[in-house]
Amino acid sequence: MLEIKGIEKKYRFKPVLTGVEMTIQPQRIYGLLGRNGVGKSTLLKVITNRARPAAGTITLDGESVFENEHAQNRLYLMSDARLFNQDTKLKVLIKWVDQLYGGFDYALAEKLAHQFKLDLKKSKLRKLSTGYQTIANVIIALCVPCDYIFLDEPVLGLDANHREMFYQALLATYAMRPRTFVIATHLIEEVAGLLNDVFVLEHGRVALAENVEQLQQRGRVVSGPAALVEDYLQGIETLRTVRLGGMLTAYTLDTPLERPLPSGVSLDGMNLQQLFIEFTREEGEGDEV
Amino acid sequence: MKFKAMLKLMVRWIAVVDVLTIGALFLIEVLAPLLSGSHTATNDWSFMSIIIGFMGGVMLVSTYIGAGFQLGVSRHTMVRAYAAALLFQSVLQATIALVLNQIALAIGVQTQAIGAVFTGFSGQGLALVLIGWAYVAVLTMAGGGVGLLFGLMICYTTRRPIIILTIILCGLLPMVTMLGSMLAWWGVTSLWPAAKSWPEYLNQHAWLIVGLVGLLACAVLLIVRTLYLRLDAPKQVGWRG
Repeated sequence: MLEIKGIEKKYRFKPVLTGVEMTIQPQRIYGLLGRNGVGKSTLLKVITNRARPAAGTITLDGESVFENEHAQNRLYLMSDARLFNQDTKLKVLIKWVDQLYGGFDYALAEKLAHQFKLDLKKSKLRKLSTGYQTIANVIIALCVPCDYIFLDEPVLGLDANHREMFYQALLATYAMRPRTFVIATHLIEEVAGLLNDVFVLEHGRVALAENVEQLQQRGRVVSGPAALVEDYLQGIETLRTVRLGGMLTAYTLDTPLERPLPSGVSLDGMNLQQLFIEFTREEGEGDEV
Repeated sequence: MKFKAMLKLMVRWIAVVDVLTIGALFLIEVLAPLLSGSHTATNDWSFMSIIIGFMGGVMLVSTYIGAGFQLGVSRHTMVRAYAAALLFQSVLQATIALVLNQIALAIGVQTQAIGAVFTGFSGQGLALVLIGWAYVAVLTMAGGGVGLLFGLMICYTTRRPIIILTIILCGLLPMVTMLGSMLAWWGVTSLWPAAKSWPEYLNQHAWLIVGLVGLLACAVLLIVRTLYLRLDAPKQVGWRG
């Protein structure tokens, strides 16, 4: 279990993470969601020792992960950061990964490369398109023997077919060898079906950590005549309300399902993306231009 | 495990680069003049060792810093691996320099022993060989340390003024060291005239220079260590991004 407590990080004088608290359980698939610039990538970098936190602790099964190679050997971060010399051949890169992590799954890498039509033996990083660089990174991430895999924008630059192939590959490798995946992405609708749990980062801290199914059950859109909706949602905190003439639409995570629904008022579910949008919407956003 | 694996990668790479670079320089500086009928070769192992060491340091850090962060190697381990790789480079370079110089002498090239750069050094035989070897080794180490520092700055900054300042600083460091060593020798002999009558092996400032360059190398490596332990991963590495 990976426990993150009070993580803070500043870039120069700008605070990015301001006390992140989260617990990541083994063998689950998490979504790490948040608006642009909220600190998702920074958090993943801190977890994998690429960035030094200003405060806080991260422990893996009780052992600190900072500057700890034993712990870091169980964590792998795939991101679009170009940390290797771009003239490096993929086969050399894979050899390095194998030498430093041990137990790289060459057979799976070959199989995935064949599916994605990527030549692992001859390709150089520089010669690959953005999409294929992502594919190369994804293949390596799926084949390392780590228990916790962090995928930062794993479908960046991938076309719809390749994205679909990636999701299938991820599920297949998860079924073969269950381990934890934490996926930071903006394509929420696409990954929603893969996720067990979700973390939403807002203002540098975790604003929501919940099981996806439960969250989707909680999220509702209530709409109807304003007076009836207001009466139905009395005492309930709403994420947002939209008033149009005499009609009111309210988005909430705490629908009082035990209350009888007044006639003329409708109650609809929200998918993960809608929930995320409403949860992280800021004052004035989405108003008419 | 990670230290061994990373060091193995670095050492293999540095051995190839070192042998090729020194070989090429030897061909150009010593053997090429022979082909043109000249038997006079330059003896500038000190310059060559600083430059090759410097290049080795820059290339080491720019090749492996990203791999270190990406592949879960701790900063402490990376610093140890860089230092060990530089040590290997220094020993290798000094040994190759010694061997090549002996070959040059054996085939009649009009050159001199590496240790002979210290005018007035009266040590002969083994002492002369030893001082030459140590001199090239510490200069390579110092050049390598400065190269690491420069490589780090290049990885984290692309701003031209800082790059120019870094180049000037790096160029000045060996000269400052030489000047420092001379002043130190002058200071020692002024305060303690008896030093002038030390036994043969110690009777000139050669060992003092070697010692001071060694100290410079250690100081630069300490600066690199202090910096490296405070670094976040760079956004990207590579000569052309």
